[in-house]
Amino acid sequence: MKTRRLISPLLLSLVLISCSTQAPPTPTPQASAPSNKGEIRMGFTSEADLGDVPVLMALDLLAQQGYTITPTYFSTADVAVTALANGDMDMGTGSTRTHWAAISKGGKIRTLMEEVGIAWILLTTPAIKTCQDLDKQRLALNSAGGLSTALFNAYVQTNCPTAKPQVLYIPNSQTRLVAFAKGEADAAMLETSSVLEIERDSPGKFNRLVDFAKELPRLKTTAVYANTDFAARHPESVKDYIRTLLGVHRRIKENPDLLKAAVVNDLKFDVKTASALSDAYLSSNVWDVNGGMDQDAVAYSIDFFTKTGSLAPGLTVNSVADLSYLNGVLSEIGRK
Amino acid sequence: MNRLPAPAGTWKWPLRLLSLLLFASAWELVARRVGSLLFPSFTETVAALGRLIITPSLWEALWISNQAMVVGFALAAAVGIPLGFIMGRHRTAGDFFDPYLSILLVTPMSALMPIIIMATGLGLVSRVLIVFSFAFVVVVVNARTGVQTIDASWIDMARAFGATERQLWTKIFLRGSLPALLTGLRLGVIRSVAGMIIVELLLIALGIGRLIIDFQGDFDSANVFATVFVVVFEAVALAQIFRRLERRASPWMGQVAIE
Repeated sequence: MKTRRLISPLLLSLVLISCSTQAPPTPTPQASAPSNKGEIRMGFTSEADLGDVPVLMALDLLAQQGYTITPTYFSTADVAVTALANGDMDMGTGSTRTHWAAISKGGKIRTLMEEVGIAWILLTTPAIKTCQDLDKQRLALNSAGGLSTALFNAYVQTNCPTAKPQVLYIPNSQTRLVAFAKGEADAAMLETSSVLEIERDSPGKFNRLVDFAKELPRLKTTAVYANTDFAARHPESVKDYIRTLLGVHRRIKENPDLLKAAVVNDLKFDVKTASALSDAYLSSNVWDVNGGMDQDAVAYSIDFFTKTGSLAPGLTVNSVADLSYLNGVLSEIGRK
Repeated sequence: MNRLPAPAGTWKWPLRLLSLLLFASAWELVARRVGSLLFPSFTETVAALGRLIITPSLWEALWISNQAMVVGFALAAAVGIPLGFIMGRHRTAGDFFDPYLSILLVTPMSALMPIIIMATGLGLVSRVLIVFSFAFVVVVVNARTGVQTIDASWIDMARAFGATERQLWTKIFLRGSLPALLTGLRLGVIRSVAGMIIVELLLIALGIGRLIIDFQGDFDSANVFATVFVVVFEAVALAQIFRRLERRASPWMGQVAIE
């Protein structure tokens, strides 16, 4: 496990300044450090990327509000989810499929809101122009039960059910990217940030066959979660977290430079790359300003994963999600 | 009343069964207490193992995985034994190759995966290469040690009787280094099995590695543990085969120890 540093105080002050131009702070009689509001132990997988930046920004703000934030990066998603289910972590982020699979095995987790919209693209060589062209081609996927495989299977079932690509399961995303770039695969399911990286290195060499953000806009693939015991003991902490994260989502939509600065500071990209990545994500509206989750969306997502064989049947909306915190916060701050 | 001590072999299997029983009981108690998604109980694991060994997918997976293991290990032996002998016999060769062996031993495989793909792709060659890198070093080191630890007086004696270099090799070095060589092969086959799994977890999910990843993704920890047990059993069985070969090929070792 390794610990990742939080966003710099400079960026934080930019966010606070931006907040203050919207609503001037009310003077308080005491100018003192915020009182200790308790600890939030936050778990991440080691492959955190641009999609996680607003969460990191929110954690910095929560620290300023008086929370002690303890982020921990785990080597694999299943370990991170198990830590959350066991109560070794209080909150986490990541794949809905993975967390809901843990819930189906008795994991004490509930989904709070969407973290980031779908950011998966089916990238192919230029020769593959249609779904049917995928037949007998080498396709790189994550794992048989993974999210990207579920997305791909749903696409093929709908558009070209007779196509039978040769599937190569490559668990590590960087290895998958290198394999595809080298020509070991004719098509690959890659995250948007990886697609932008490979297109920057080899412009015009690849074809975006499917952008799943457009193909399946209602599907919820990543979310923010809480351990149920922690949420029951600290409901205000959960609501503060949601409120702060929604605030970040709204601020970066109004002022994209905040996100770009965070990407430069936290992910160590150069300014040009950070700008391109941020623009790509923001233009797809991946960070919903209202939390991106309601009963229908969760039900749709459960149904999708069940039908594609990624989840065992039997899960319900209430068994995987507790949207009362999100709805409570939205009733306070209003919907946009 | 004086009693003769019971022969040691009489107690071996009861002690083993007792230790297994204690281990299983402790595992069951701890797993039930911890209640973690990733830590199944002993009984859950045994049940999963019982179901797993009768499914064709396990045997198909073993067949796929062991292709890389067998070829990689065979290559490691074919290259490692002669190299080890040369390094043991000629100091210059030993000094030359030593740093490369150390690098190979300590380099984490996960860091090398992108390089391996660039060089050899995703097919059997890359898997064989990784299995080879796991087994090769121990085979070389043990072959070298086998030659270096041969009593110098034997060599002097042989030379005194006019032995040629070839005769030194066939009469002294090969026979004298056999125990160490077989030990190296035994350790090498164990590391080959480890390499076989690691490449399928880190590079491309095939065979047993894919089974483990799929079970992990579903939080089916009982099946993860059951699959790992199958692999461990294979490694132990192969190691036992080489241990028996060691005893058969070098029976004088026991006699020397007594003398």
